[in-house]
Amino acid sequence: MEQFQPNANNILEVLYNRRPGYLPLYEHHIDTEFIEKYTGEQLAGYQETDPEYFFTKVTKFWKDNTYDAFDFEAPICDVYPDHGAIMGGKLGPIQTRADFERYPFDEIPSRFWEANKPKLDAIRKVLPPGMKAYGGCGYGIFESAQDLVGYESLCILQYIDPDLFRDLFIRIGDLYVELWSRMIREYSDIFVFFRMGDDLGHRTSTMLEPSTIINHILPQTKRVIDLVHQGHKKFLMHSCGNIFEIMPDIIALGIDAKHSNEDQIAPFDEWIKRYNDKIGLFGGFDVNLLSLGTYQTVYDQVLERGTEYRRMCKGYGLGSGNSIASYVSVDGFRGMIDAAKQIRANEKRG
Amino acid sequence: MVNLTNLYDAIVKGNLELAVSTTREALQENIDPQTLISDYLIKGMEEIGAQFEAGKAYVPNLLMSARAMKGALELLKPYMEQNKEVTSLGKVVIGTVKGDLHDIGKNLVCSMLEGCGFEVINLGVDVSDEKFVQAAKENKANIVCMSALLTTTMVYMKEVIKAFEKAGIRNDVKIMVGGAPLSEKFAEEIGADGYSDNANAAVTLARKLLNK
Ligand code: B12
Repeated sequence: MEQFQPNANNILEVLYNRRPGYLPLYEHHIDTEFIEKYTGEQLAGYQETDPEYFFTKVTKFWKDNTYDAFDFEAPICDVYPDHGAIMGGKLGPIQTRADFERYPFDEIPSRFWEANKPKLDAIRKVLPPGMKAYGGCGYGIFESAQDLVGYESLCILQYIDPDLFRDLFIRIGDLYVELWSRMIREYSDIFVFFRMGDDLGHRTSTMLEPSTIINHILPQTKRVIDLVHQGHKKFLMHSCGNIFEIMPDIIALGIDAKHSNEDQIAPFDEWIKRYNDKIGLFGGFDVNLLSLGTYQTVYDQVLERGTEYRRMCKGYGLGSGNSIASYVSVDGFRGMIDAAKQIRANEKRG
Repeated sequence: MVNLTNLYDAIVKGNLELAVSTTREALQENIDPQTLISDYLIKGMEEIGAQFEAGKAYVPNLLMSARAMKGALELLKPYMEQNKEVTSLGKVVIGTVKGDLHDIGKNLVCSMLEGCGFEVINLGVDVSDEKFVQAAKENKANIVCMSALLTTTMVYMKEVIKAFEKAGIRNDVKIMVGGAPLSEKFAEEIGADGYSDNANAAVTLARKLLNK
């Protein structure tokens, strides 16, 4: 069989909501632990100690599995002093106006670039021909607020100190504009499109009241989207959970495509019916299926449903509804990749 | 005279200050604490829970209501300790299962169960089968609640149920499960006694399982 050559422009078609020449594969993320499990090679730690080695291995893995582009996000939250509240079990460093005033927001950009410039430069050096990255600055506006305050305190803060709640989101937005501006200016050559991940929903509804999201979070997201568009790039929004109530507002921000879906919330068909006339879509296959299904069950389902999604959609890239977490089975992942290759082969044969 | 409807409204609207001031006034007027709890506080939590289940209220609303409820209960505690007639609907041991750190939904189920009259022992996240069994034994729990948000950890729930069987106490407790990737069918397959997809329905289910 002829060797796969990645072509980032192929997956980019999804962002224009056009049908790509062949079915592109997409993942929000593939855990390093999963790649280790799959290849038997140790990778953990190398991202910091030897980024060129790390990204050579990682991009090779994505390329071998016939992806046009791979995910890289430079994580903003990781450089927040005293971060980690988003993981639960502890309060974030900002609980009061005094904490907010004292918080060293001005130091974040230098910490961010110090941590991430070596990685971005390494990616530029080792990208296989034809392949690019997608992502950009990691973590969404809401996720940043959760990391700085803590989810439950943030829910309460909007009622007990609405001014602080408002100012916090504006300050996060300012920070994002600063970081994203430089990301777009200096690294547009290595990213095929930019993406923000911000999990705004859960199983039955949105994580905050829709009006709160619309008034405080989305205006800041919009600032980033506008920057991306001014830089002549396309923008993908990744957001988990049941966010149907605010999808019209998210689309109105000007996003070009959307990723994340879960079967317990709605079948992927529903996403296609509701939104594919307006934006490109990625995903389709629930993490439950990829983790628990055998090679054959995954292969059969992805072949059948994937063919159908490709037929129904304008812009569509196939992948899991979320990410290839460490616990996804190697067989399930293989089943999905092989089925995608088969869909391409079937189309070629006509 | 105190307007007790304020107490109900304070819980539904999540107004801590109003909940506390109304409770204080009611106690000064010697109104029975059990009446305050059953007829106003719990009724308020039930209302906001029902609104959440119907998609008309959101997690922050539930958290604000739980906060108001807690404020009122703080004031009522000394009276409840004196008066043994104020009893709980049952004892619940709850945790997010081993390998899983998602705790927002589990905490919400805790707040609703507590707010609606159950005694809740929260084991936190990353809870092993042994820990569930031990806590259920030590606390003589009526119900064990497990939460899981990941495919792998949801499968682990079956191990926990097996551990209860092995310890010979499976029939002493009702086991409830929940979390984003679960379904009713999955709950049945692993031999749980019940499943619900939201915190309000969890309370209804707990009551049903204990015939309360
Ligand atoms: C917020 C979130 C996180 C936060 C968690 C913060 C915290 N403190 O809990 C962070 C960022 C840390 C996180 C991490 C990860 N996450 Co996450 N996360 C979510 C998200 C967006 C929302 C979960 C949530 O808080 N919901 C809000 C509450 C209110 O809802 P709930 O938990 O569903 O609970 C309600 C009901 O389910 C029910 N309920 C819950 N428990 C119980 C128990 C009983 C007994 C009963 C009766 C009812 C009940 O009542 C609750 C209230 O109504 C979901 C998306 C989703 N659809 O849920 C993904 C999701 C759960 N995450 C997912 C993944 C993959 C991960 C990671 C593996 C990502 C990664 N690669 O690192 C890690 C795993 C970390 C770990 N080891 O646990 C996937 C899981 C897929 C799968 N099938 O396995 C999901 C479903 C996203 C998706 N699109 O696929 N995550």
